[in-house]
Amino acid sequence: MKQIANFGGSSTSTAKETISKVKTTRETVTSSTTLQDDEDFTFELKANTTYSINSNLFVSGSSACGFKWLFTVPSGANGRINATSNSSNYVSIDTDIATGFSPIDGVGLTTTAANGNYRLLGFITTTNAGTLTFQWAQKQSSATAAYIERGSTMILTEV
Amino acid sequence: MNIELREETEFHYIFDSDYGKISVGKYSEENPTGAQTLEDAANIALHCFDSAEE
Repeated sequence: MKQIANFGGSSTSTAKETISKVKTTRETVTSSTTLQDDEDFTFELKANTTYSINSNLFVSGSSACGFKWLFTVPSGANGRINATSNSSNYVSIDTDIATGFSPIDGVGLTTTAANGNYRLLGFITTTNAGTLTFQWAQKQSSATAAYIERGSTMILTEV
Repeated sequence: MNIELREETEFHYIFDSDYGKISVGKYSEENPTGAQTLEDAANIALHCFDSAEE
């Protein structure tokens, strides 16, 4: 019998991996513009694999401090991220996943008010296994906190 | 708010608090608003939500 499709039930199928992370408590950065690793959003990736990235972040970055972010990726990996928001406080951008606007500053957002629902959609293709880590900080150093609220999620799905 | 020092890194004092992890930047020429001492960092952490727009 000729096989015309594989719906995942045969012995030749390979399970596709989904890695879901949720922030269970608020995470805060204050008086700092140095990108720091997020407490929760770090992922161990396989070599030679493409993952889709879907993230919903509840961010507070006031006009005093703004907000900036970037991903660190396994060596040789490439990908893109499209960032959108339901709030005009956070600009929409499309950027290289590991470069952002610059490798030091990442994607810096000058905001006009604190709260925004920030959505990241994109992909990463690896050549080597390694770690994908979301990093973030204040855009301008301020004693007013920037934070990502509990309930924020990041989901990677192998495609 | 209760806070407790978790660790000190090159750039941050990191506290655990009732509101989760709080990273406070250290003072430097590039970061003049950063904390100069652990006590200073604790004070910044304790008040970092005072003017945040919740």
